[in-house]
Amino acid sequence: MSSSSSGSGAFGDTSDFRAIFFEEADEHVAAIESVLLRLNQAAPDAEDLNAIFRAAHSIKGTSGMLGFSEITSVTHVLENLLDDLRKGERQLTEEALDLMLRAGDVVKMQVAFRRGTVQEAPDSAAIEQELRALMERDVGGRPASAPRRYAVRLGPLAAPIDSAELDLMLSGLGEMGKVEAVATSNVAGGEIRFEVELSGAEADLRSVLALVVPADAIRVDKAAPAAPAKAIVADDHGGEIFFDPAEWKKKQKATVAAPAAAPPAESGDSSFDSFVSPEKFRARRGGGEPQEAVSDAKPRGPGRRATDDPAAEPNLFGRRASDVVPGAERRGRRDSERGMQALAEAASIRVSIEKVDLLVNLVGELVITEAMLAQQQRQEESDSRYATGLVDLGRHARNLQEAVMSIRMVPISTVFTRFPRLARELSQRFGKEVELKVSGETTEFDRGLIEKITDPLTHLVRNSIDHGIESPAEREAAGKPRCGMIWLSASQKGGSIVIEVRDDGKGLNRKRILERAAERGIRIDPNADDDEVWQLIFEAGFSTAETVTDVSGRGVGMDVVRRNIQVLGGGKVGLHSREGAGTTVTVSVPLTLAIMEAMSVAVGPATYVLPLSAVIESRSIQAGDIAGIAGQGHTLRVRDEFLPVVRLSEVFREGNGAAPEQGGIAVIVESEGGKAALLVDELLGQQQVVVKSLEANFRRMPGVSSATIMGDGRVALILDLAQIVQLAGKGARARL
Amino acid sequence: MAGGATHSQSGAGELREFLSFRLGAEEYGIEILKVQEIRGWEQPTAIANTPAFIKGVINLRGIIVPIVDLRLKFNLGEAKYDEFTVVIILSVAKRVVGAVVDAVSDVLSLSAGQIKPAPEFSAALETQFITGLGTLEERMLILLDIEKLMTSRDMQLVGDAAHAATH
Repeated sequence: MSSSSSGSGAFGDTSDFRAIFFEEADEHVAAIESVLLRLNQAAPDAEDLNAIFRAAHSIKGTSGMLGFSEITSVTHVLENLLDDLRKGERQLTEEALDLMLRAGDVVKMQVAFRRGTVQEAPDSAAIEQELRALMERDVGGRPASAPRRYAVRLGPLAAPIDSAELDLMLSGLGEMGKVEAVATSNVAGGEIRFEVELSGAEADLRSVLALVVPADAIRVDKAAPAAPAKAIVADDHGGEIFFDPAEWKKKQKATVAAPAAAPPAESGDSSFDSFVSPEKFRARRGGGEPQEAVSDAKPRGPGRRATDDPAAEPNLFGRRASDVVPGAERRGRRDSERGMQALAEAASIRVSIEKVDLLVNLVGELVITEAMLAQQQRQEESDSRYATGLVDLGRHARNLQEAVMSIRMVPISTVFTRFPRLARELSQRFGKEVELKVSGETTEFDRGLIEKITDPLTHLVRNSIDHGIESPAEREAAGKPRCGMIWLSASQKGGSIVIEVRDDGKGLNRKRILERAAERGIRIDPNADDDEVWQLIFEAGFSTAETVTDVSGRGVGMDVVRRNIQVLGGGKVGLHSREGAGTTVTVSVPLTLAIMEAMSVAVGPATYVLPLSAVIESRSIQAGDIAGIAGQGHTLRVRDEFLPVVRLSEVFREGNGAAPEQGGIAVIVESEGGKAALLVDELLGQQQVVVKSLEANFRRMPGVSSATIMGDGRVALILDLAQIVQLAGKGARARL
Repeated sequence: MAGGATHSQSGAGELREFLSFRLGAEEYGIEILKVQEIRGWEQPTAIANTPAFIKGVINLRGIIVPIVDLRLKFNLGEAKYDEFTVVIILSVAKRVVGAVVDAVSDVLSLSAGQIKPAPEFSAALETQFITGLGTLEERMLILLDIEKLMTSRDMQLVGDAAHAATH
């Protein structure tokens, strides 16, 4: 339980603060959703419920502070429901789960609206209404939980507690229940005693107390009911103020009514209806310096960082780490760090992607300059001291490059988190039972790929649920468990991230695919092995939706999936299926699009760069290796395969056109649509290259995917092998 | 294209600055604000299957910049490349493009009164790219809308998608 407000005067620029809120709110909503989806409905984990509660509470608190009353209002109702749930006063029903998910969506939209990314304010009245209705409906059957009374003794204190913190803690407890009989001796060696009556668990109480006092100084005992008494709080400065908990409580009630959009206070003893606006909070603290809560806070609680000091100089990125966590929000943060380790951004800063890209560019330049220097040094064979210096420089530059590139990397969980929700919704819609198992979600890849890979993956998961998994009845008839399984996994293999979408559904229907192929006039050997048949569904217009199952197709087919994957640095899509046993689609894309393992080749006077991932082997050409097919170009025999020959000199019209038949080198590459042999003059070497856009200032060129800068500072073109091989594979002379 | 349209409307007293350069015997002027820098010639990396006037791409401090030879494009002057050849690096329509010209002369300030509308004459360039004629003593400058020229379909510097966006 954290207090929800703080003096807001410490941060002058609210737009900054808003931006932080937007980002944090997005994270909290995402956290709420992901935790909701993993909740065990029959016996929800208490810590999970707490995590959702804290996330909702955090949004509520900050949105209230910023005056986003409609967000406050929804999260407030959500919070009430969650509170009942975590106290075990209510069963977690399917309906409640759905409502909470929808409430999360509404909040997400509200945040987007406040941020200005959507034009229309979402209607939150309906969801609030439904949540309230749900809560009221069940209220009769709700077991009354008797508030328990605890006697709390904090002490002996190693040092006096900051008065603002103590104040906040007591007010926090005041929101949870009744605080009475406060006796304070807030000096070193002193003790703070009070009794508190609340319906929450003792653990909750302790967690609140632990925010202010070290855990070993907390003693909590069950206490007998006692009459309220006046209490005295002696503050640090020795002055005394009188303190009346009842009066205090009244003030809190008043604050609820104050904001226009704040929901009406719930009746009864549930005290979760109140939260405190910053103004009221400041007022309540007797006009104390608003900054107090921030600046007086000494790094003593868990989760506090030295960088929280608001006086800290802005760092390199123009932003203090402390910008992110003002005042009492920080307390919420401490909470969430405890509960949602995986979801919270531990000790991190937010940096705009442009700044990272600039850094990547600059480091790329540094590496190139270093390579140029090293090359010159080798040619001149000058002083060996320079040579060793240059070797060191080279190593440092590359380490730096690696470190900078790693900044762009994010775990693939950022993509995977949306799928449990998708699976849930689609399975409901199609009347299927589906369980989605996710693994390897910590695998990291370039954040630039997130957007590009989300759509294809969504399509694959959708396909699995729609067309792969059978209805429960069909499954039972087939002797399978009613509930279908979908496994979504990610792993890193070399420079690629491999994502697998596997289901235990009915698999592809060979007969239907062959029929459809015949309809479309695609010729295929009827005895072709399965893998060959499955390749057909990647043909344009060969929508699996219309052919393999009878469910009417939505959206794009597998050809689009494959195309979208292939443009990602030569990504690949593989498919395995067994009728009746399920389908596995494997997507493999490079970890990053910014750097590529490459092989450079010489063709005439030009240097071209090939993605190493596509290169299978290279071999020198002997007489008679290449055979002509009349009017169809040439083929190269490699072991028992005949590969189409692509003369790069012809494709790019380099040299005199008399490409060497002998003495030349064939680079065997594999790309979409198969293998080909590229004839080149010379292999120049393998290296990592920084991929540069050709289109930024120029346009897309056929056969060229992008460009890079070589060690000598010159530009070399990176070939689009898919395009080149495709042309060659179609038997056409590879003229682009 | 905000570049050219405003020329004739500027007040008589207001001076506009132009970079003047030569293509063959003709002298051209382009708005100085479109010029990023002027560089010496360096051999670009040729790109196959492009017209001859696209000389290729160079590495300009980490970004890939296409180089066009306006002399070849308009059949003016002699397309030779030596240490005196200059490349004007232009910043047009959010792109960076290099243009090879015979020589860069100077920066001139012209008032609106010195800029006359372009007559219908058969220059090497289509009149749609000419915003006016600048006169300064004995000299006559053909003022170009360099942004419009560089992004025109004719120059083949911009992909079709970008065309749709800029026109």
